[in-house]
Amino acid sequence: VIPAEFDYVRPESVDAAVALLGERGDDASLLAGGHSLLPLMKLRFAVPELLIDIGRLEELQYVRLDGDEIAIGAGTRHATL
Amino acid sequence: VKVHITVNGVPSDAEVEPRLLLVHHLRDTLGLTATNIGCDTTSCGACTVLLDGESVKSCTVLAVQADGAEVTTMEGLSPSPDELHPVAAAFRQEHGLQCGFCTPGMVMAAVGLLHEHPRPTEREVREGLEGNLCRCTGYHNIVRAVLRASGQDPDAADEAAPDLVAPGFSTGSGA
Repeated sequence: VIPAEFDYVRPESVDAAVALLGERGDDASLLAGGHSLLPLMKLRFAVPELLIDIGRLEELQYVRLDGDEIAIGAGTRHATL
Repeated sequence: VKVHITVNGVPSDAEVEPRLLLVHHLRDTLGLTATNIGCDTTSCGACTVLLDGESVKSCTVLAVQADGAEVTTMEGLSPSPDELHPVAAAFRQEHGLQCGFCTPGMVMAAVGLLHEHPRPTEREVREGLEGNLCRCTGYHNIVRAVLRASGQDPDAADEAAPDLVAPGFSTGSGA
């Protein structure tokens, strides 16, 4: 184990994740894939008390045509693009 | 936190700390030590495994993130030592390894790459594996092995791309 201790939750919806963020504020960090956050946590540059895993929130994963615009969900993975 | 991870087809349940990295779970909890830890900073790719069929660097995935997922490591790739997975067989045939430390990660990354690009060009192989470092600099035969595994003749691919600056190097410039 390399990062400091933290609690981990995987909310089922965006609303639940937002509520958790509201409760915990700066003590919490969002975890999507982790390829930016986890290296920072290993170096203890980031020491969140709570990780809120939004990596599986399908609400945030989409690429769709909205009129003449393409909308890309914030949780869409690079591999999908 | 309880995690249920199917590793190489075998379901496993474990109670883990949230901060436990997937690679440590594989190596220390489950005893699957084919997956190497190289840099521990997401740079070298030695720890690459398949997570639900896609290659990931397991030093930068928490075990809890893999809850409910299927993980494949080098141990689970080939049906048996006598019946190698096509990518493993191609690495042997083309001598795609020197010291072997990067090999499990290279092979797993190559499997992921070929899943997305079944017939990659030489350049696509080099770009697809750019997240995996070989400290022996044995890239040339690794690329040949991946081309071989895709059913292509590596010698023909060499002739088809004579504009490469030097064997084993990609400038990334697209030139």
